[in-house]
Amino acid sequence: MVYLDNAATTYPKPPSVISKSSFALVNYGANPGRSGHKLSMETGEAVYGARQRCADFFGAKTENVCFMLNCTEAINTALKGIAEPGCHFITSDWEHNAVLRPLTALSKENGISFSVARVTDNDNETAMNFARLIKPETKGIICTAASNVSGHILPYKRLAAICKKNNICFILDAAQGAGVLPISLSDGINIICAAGHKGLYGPMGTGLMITDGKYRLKTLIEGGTGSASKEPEQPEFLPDRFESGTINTSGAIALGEGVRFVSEKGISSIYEHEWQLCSYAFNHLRKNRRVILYGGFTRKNAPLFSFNIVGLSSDETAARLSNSGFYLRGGFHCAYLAHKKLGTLETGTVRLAPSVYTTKYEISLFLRAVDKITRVK
Amino acid sequence: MEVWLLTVKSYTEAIRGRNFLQGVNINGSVEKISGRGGCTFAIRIKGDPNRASRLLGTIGVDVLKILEGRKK
Repeated sequence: MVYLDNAATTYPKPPSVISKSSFALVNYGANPGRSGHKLSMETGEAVYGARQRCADFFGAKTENVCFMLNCTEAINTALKGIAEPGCHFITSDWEHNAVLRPLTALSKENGISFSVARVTDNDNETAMNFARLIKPETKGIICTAASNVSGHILPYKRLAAICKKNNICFILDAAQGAGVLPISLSDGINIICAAGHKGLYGPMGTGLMITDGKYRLKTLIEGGTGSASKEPEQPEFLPDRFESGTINTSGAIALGEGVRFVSEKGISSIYEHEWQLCSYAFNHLRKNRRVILYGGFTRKNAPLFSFNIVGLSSDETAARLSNSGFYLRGGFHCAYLAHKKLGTLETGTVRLAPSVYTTKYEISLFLRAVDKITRVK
Repeated sequence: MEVWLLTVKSYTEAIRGRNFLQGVNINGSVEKISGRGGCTFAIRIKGDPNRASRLLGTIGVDVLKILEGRKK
């Protein structure tokens, strides 16, 4: 089996993450931040350690790291938390439904609107496309760090600077960027939303919302936090404000281990490894006339790309590859806007996304399998 | 030496504050207390609570109350 669906979730997880997860389930069985007994305190310490590691990784204060279910929850919390009646947001034409759908839902209430900026291969042009959409009522820009369909990296540092200059909020969807691209609050990003289970190698069911604290966010849900418990109002302070109810304790602790793993490997070396594999695959597939590639694959790409085989739907291609032991995702990747942009709304695409564990040998086997499919077609 | 409880907003703040104080040679531990505001957490220290409180303020950890702690 060769797993190349790492943009959906990385697999396998590092052994240290697996052992940390099971260690947490066995040894940190109490509820952190709730009780005063030794086991609860020890669990709290372990969660704090994970929180601190995530904070260091993204240049944040420890308390401004909020554990979430996934990146989608983080995006919803950030967007809906900052939205006000009559306000306006700007997003890109590469966005995942995790951004598009909350924006669409918001646009159905209280006169909230949003505009879609066109991303091009020219970062200056892209930045200008965003900047020219800013209006007096614009509350913020929200965009992905890198497309989950094409891997196209957006000039997010430039966009953060534009937001800072215009005193509006910049929310970054780092689902595909965290762990492979340098992403830090120090770049002027106000809120980073990240999946824990992708490039950070944590378990599924984990995500992060990391804020610089500049913007007060309304809450999506309220409830018990183990703090200020006689107050009927939700606490204002982080992370408690956004962590009502019991968190995924073993998941958070294991995510902390994932972040340690990524930190030790180094994001630039992880990027380089995965990028080289993608480049190798892309350049091989380019020679196959029955393979359609979308866009180029350059240093402006996160390590993933999409393709199709002429005459086959993306699902058929993915199914044939699966039967041969190669696990890739076909379809629309929950990214309507991206497929509209690529002109693949009818077919979808097959996505190749390696991880730190993928080898060149595995990619060469995959390429052989594609060649075989295109020959027999 | 007297024992003091510096109450803070949450366990996250308590651990952060305790770690910081350890870095300036004020040893402490975190414990849960239930007070007027409901459940919260405190940093148990020995020594000057006002100094510790001031130091915690420098990293943004607000001490809500200083309580006299019982020796364990």
